[in-house]
Amino acid sequence: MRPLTISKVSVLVMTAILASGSRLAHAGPITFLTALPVPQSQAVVHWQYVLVRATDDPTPAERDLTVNAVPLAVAVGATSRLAIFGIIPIVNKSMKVMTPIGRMTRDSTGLGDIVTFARYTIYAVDVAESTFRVAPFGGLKMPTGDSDASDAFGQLPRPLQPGSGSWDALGGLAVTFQTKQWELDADVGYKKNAEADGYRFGDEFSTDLSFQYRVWPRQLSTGVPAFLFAVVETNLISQGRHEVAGTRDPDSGGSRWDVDLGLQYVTTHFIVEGIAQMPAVDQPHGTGLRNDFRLTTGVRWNVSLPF
Amino acid sequence: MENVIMRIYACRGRQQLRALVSSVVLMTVAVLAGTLTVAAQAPTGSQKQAVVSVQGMQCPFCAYGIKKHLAKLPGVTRVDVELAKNQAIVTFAPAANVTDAQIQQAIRKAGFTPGKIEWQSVGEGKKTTGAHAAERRHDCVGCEAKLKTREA
Repeated sequence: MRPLTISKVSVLVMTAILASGSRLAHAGPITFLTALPVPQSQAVVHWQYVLVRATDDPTPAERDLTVNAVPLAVAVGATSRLAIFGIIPIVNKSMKVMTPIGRMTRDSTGLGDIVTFARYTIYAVDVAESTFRVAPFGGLKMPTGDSDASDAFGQLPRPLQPGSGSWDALGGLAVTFQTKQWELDADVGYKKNAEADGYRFGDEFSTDLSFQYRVWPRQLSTGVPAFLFAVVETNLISQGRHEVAGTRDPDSGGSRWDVDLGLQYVTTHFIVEGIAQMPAVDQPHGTGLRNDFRLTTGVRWNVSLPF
Repeated sequence: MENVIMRIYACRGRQQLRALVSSVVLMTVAVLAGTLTVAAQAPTGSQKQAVVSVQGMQCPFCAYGIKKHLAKLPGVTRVDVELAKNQAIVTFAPAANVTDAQIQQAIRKAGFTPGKIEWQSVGEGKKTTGAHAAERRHDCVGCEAKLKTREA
């Protein structure tokens, strides 16, 4: 029987949660960032609940991973083109694994790593029937989450910790084309992970596409009616292998391509949304755990600031 | 004798003419004074409305910022947005003194591009704003639908 190493958790599951903050949108797509503006002196508060399940274990360890995350994101319009984002995640990671002494569960709960980044609109074309925006973004993930938490069995493996322990840089580009009937968003991002306490998560590359189609109302009435969008998104995430004391972990990293279906109800003051992300292709390195699904629900509020 | 009678008639005719001219002049002055009085009072009793074209506004969530920034302009009494027509309709108090540049700046702060601005007066007691303004012109989507229903 292969030695049971709980640390060989799918990095893609973990990093998806770690990176979930940076992928929050303030409007438009549900699973990633849009290029639509945040008005000056206003904020968008975005609360999400994310559930990730991963049970497809190719080893006899029968690993079963559940991740619950509650990221709270705030986007503030510093100017009409510059928006500052802050994401505070609360995470719970729980893994069940078969051992020679029986099935055991190890879990952690707490504040995750806070992410902050800025997004600047470098190109905008507004006409009566559409808007087209291009906005690069860049920022930092700070090691605010606990990275040396322990349970009854000792210190938790690094991927099960609420935080990564490292200062990581992230950046990318978001593009949006929006009409009153439909919207198309795309982004590309990269996260450069740094080493902390002899452990370094593999760098992450992601690219996403979202198509939203207004299904209700069929015809626009007077004033500002609420919209119901059917949402189709796709996410491609690829991560390099982790390094433990300078040595690459062969059972870490990999690539995953998700196809997502969701609904989004948009009013003037708030948005309610939900989406299910199903892996179309999941290729973890080595014996990495595959994702079953990922569910994301959320609410966003428009808030006027006093300054 | 005939000469005496002719002079008397001529004298009466001039008096009547003077009286007629005096009456016409007085009436003209009175009408003009009345008209001028009404004209001077009209602006103080009416609100001003700016119909602003907003380029790029495509969804309800975006309309929030536009309404909030326009509402911060001095003297604003009401802001309505017509998403289908890409318009914001801003109603100002009669004493408000807001320029096109201020309105354009408010739209830019909301992250969008201002277009044409049309000013119109709204008489007191006949306040017509937002959707209702469009309804009165019968050119909004809702009214078109209503009219079609009535015609059917």
